[in-house]
Amino acid sequence: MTPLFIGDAQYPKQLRDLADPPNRLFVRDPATPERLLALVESPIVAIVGSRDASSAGVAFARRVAGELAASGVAIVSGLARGIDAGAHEGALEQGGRTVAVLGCGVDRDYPAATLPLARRITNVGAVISEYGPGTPPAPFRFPERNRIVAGLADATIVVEAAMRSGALITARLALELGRDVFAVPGAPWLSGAAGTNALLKDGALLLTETADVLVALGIDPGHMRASDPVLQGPAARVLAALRREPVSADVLAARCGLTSAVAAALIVELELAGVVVRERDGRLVPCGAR
Amino acid sequence: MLSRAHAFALAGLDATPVEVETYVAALGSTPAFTIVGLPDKALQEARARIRSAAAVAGVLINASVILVNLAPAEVRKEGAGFDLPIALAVMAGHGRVDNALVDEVSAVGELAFDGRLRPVPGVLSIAEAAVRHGRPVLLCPEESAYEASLVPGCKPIGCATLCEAVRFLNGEDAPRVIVAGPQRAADPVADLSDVRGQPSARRALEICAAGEHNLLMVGPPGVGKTMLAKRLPGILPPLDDELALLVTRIHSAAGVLDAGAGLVRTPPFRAPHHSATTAALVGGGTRIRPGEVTLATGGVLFLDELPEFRRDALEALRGPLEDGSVRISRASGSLLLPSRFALIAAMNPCPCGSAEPSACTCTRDRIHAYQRKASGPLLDRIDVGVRLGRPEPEVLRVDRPEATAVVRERVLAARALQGLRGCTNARITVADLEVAAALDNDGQCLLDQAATRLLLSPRGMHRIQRVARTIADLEGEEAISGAHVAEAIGLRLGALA
Repeated sequence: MTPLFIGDAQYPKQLRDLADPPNRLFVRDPATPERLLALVESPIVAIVGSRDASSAGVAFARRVAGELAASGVAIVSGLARGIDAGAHEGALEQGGRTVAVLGCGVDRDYPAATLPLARRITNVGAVISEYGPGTPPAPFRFPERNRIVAGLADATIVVEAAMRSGALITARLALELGRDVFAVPGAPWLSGAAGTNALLKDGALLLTETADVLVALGIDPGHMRASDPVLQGPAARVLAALRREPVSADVLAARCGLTSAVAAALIVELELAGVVVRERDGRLVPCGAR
Repeated sequence: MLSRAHAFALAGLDATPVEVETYVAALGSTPAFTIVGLPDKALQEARARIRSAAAVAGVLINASVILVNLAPAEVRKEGAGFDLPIALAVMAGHGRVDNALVDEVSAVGELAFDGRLRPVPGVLSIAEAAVRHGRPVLLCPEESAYEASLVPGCKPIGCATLCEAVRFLNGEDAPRVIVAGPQRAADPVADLSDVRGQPSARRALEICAAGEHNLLMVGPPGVGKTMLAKRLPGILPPLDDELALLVTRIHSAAGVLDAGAGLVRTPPFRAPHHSATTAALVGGGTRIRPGEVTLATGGVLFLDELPEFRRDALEALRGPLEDGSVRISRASGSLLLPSRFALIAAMNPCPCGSAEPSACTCTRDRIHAYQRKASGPLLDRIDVGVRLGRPEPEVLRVDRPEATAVVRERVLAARALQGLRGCTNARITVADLEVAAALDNDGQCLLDQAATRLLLSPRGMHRIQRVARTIADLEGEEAISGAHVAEAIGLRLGALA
């Protein structure tokens, strides 16, 4: 794999806006610099956030990425678990227009948790790094990597982030470049919302649905409306209860007056429809814009 | 003078006949008492017990030369059960009883110094072998007579002492009437209605009981995992005659049967500690003993703190779980033992075992390693998973748990439907799934959707189909609907997450 130098024709032009653009980029085989160029010359959006995000946050990142990819927007992120992985996966489900930027040598199998994801991305998208083959991951390399994520993207979306997180660094870098920064708001008592709410206070754009970004990119979001399945009967009632407050399956059954068997079946149907996700503590959280 | 008696050597759950040949020279050369024919240490020590018991019975054998041969010579003989047959042959050698009479019966039992007979393990297997080999009259300790009488065709004679055995053979005493020992009231299995505030876990337990599925419970300490597991035997169908005899034989051979309690009718509940070795779990040892998987046959094997079990022990469980039997091979031979049980495994969500997720101090990697340790070898074999949290006040207020008897009725009805199809749902083969567990349109749709969205393997899909079959059976429905499949998918997700 030959490096792509800053002067090469296939080098992503938008990176030259950075104060310290990477002098060279490596693209992991079998992806090629040509494919990378095709991806970064289309509208491209970064989706970043916490590694320990809630399932609902990951599901939201996945959904937004999928809807953006379906509208011809490429997705760039950092291949970490959590929000990053959700964003890459959402794009892969819609054809794979996604770029992963590593904080270590491009040939390293890191992070281990997203290894299968990295393989799928190399086949249809691109995994890139400014570090030569063999470079081990190190804490200082991840903020450096984030400038490439911010530099590639026309707009950056932060889904969930604690205060003092890598995602906020990416957002700050994007602001310095004069690019749009979107943040997903959250309830103030959720730790994952602290960073995004702080961004919003500082003037970031509010994102509650994919159309918010598409409009900013000048893409007509018209065809995206009403893509949600229309629910009726008990399923709608269950979802309405969860929208009031995310609770466990047992509490949900108690509140809706259902047997646990009926409730369990409804919950799975909602999960498969992509409107409810299960958190690690067993609570069911509705996801998606409403 | 030559005399002969008949004993049995226990190997696993089966007994093989052993001829006890005795040569007694009552007077003459240097006194001696020798046993040959691969006796173990306990059997060697029979000489002391027999000497004392015979003296109490009025036969001084100190001056005699006694040679005992246990044939066939190459079979290892173990335990104190040979005391009585050897003693009878010795008594015959001293002319206290006609050897022709001793030759007609089988005998088993350990002797006390004062001549009393003590019960030994495996009497049920020995009684069966006695009938099979044409000597159905079995002289045995009084406490074991009832156990032996459970074998059709066996005529056990319970004796309190060696003297009594001799008197019976000589026709001086009529055999004692066999009475069942103090019948232990069927184990009071705790009632399911005690488990309040965990409706979905109770539902999962019911489904597992109905379809013989294996269950994994994940939840912090103290939320009721063990409580639930202990209540599973109560909702399982009671053992039928054939299975009851098998289970009783297993427990008898392992020496864990209550003397006089009769056939084991309640499904056993075995809960080995997580420090258990592979041999303790699947069976083994120089003298091959049934392991926990065999002792749990017909009932429940409960593995609490699943990830704390030794990796090799968990690996060894895979075969028995899949095949319903376990082959144990040692230098001394190889044995096939039954191992058909319902597995219930329980674990904490993370290694620190903190009660609240918010108090957890584990790193992501540690949690990952902990869960992988449990899931690696066994997850493939687990159909149903359920997460338990602390019972919430809101649920406790409205939760009205059903009694064990009510749930068991439903389980029995579902099992009856499976009986018509020939096997429990957990054991439907892949080839039969299409017919036995056909899904309706909605159901198929949902399963396909789940397969693509959740990247399910074909095996995972089969497991969902089997559980969906059970859920439909519990409702008495022939067709498997979307709701049945959806609930089954949810239970599969609980096992995966």
